[in-house]
Amino acid sequence: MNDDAPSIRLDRLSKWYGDVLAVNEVSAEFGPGVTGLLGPNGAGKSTLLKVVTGMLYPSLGGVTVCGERPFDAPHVMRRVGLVPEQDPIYSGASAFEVTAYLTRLHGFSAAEAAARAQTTLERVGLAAAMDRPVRGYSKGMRQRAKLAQALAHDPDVLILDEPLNGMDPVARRDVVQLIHDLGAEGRCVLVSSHVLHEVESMTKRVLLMDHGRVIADGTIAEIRRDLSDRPLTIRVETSAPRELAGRIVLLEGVERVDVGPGLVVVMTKRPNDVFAGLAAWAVDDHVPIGGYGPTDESLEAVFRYLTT
Amino acid sequence: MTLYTRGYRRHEDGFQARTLRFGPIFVQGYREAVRSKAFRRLMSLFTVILIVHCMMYYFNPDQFVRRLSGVARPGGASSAETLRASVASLLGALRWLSPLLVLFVGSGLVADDLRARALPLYLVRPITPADYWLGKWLIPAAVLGVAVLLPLLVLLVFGVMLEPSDQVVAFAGEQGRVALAILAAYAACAVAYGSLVVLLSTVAGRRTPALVLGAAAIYGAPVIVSLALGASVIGRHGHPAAATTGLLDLVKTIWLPMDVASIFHAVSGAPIEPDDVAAMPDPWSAFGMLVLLFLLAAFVVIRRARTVEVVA
Repeated sequence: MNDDAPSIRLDRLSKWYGDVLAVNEVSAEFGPGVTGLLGPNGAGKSTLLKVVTGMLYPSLGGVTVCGERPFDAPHVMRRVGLVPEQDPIYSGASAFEVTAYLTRLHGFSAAEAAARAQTTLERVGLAAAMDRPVRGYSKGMRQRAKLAQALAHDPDVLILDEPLNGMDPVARRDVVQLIHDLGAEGRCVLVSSHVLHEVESMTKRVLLMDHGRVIADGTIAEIRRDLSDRPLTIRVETSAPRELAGRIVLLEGVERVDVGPGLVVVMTKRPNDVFAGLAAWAVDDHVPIGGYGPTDESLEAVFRYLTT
Repeated sequence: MTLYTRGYRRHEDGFQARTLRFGPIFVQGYREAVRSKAFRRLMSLFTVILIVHCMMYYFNPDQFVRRLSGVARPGGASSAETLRASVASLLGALRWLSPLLVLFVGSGLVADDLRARALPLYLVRPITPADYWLGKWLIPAAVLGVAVLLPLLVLLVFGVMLEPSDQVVAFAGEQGRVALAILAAYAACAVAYGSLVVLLSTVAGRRTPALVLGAAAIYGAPVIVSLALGASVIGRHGHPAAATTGLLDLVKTIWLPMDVASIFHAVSGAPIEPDDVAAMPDPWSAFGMLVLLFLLAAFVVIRRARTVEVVA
């Protein structure tokens, strides 16, 4: 990857506070596109983001943002946007004022900052409310205002810490789409969350953390495939569940079969055998099979597997 | 549980690249400050005080000299003396009221950011903790420019303009020392009150406690100084004016308005009001105290800005 390209590189990065090891030898590379940083509370996500944004110095290892060490070169922060968990400052001020002010801190003139603030607030859907004080905003509007202040200087690297917190479903959908678009524009977008389905809706590439360590890095499907020793759950829709369950249970690798009305749920270590069997029975023996597919390639299931 | 750790930022950019980063912080903060009701109301009061001083100077200028020296000069005091005394009198009022203004507009400068956990929004941008400190400190300094420096200069110019037209230029030229003393007094106010309010705003972390602590520091200090003076008198069986050195002089320096007065009088040469003689610290002690306060405030704010909340 070109050093100047929007990128974040972590090289055996560790960070500890006294006896508390927050981040433990994390190596990863994030390029253009959206990447989810996932883990439960206390996994080390926030510490990692603080090191990436130059607020903390690593105890060991290194980090570069667009080819430069953020704590050594504050000017690289002109290429970085951060959406923190906290609410915007000057809550008595309007979103426009806050955004313009924070944009000026990047070195833009007042006029340029104002123009950028207006454009960005329109982009995040706050055009109608941009002149109202932030203190009167709903949680979702505040989140969008935070997103605007992070985007107004047109950063190459965008760090989003729990960006969907408190948003209603409509706002959530809009912001997820916006994050998609930002990634598609070639920006390096790193989204931290402890809510798995949120990240799943934004990207397929994730970095899973637990107790300061990276426990998985890749697409959700890749990670799931790597877990070949773990059973996969397959859901089959059928009008003859008992007959189908009787066939499936004879296959090798099947650990469990649950039968419900119009439904068979199979847990197997050899999912390909089940898929092949289902196709053959449907075609050759005319077993009524409506549809089937794995139920636990979801991030939630992957994460549950990896941490238990 | 919340853990805090010291953040780290070394700066490789040159001096030129860093100098203006505090600008937007200062401009925005100043705009907020002058928009506040407290600023408008107290500035109205300051304006009234200025007008009263101008009127008193116009109608009966000798009264300032009489008040300071305690006696009337035979044949009246010179214009230069009366103008210097009137400026000292105006400063006497402003040095007491201006801390109130600074406390009202400045108590939330850092505290509001801390309460909103907004420091990361600053520090993730290409500004440094030192830029943050400087931007914040300049806000009360600029407010004091409007509240203290401007009225003093207006009175000085007013006094000069009252001279006969053929003497205005010569008289103005003679006021260099008073103008310098006004600048010194303003700088002392900015350093003393600006540093105090930013320091307390950081330490208290909330606007109201910072305001209360600041008021206690400014208006409670005379009590401590009076007690120290009383103890000194009892100990020495002498006049308090004799006890101007050593530990007592250090105690006197905690009375910040008196430090400002001491520096003004040292530069201007204006006589000191009789009531203030005993309590006024040596100008070098006052200067040392203000430098110490400035450095302490800078250290505390920069250290706090570098402190990052990592686990909550």
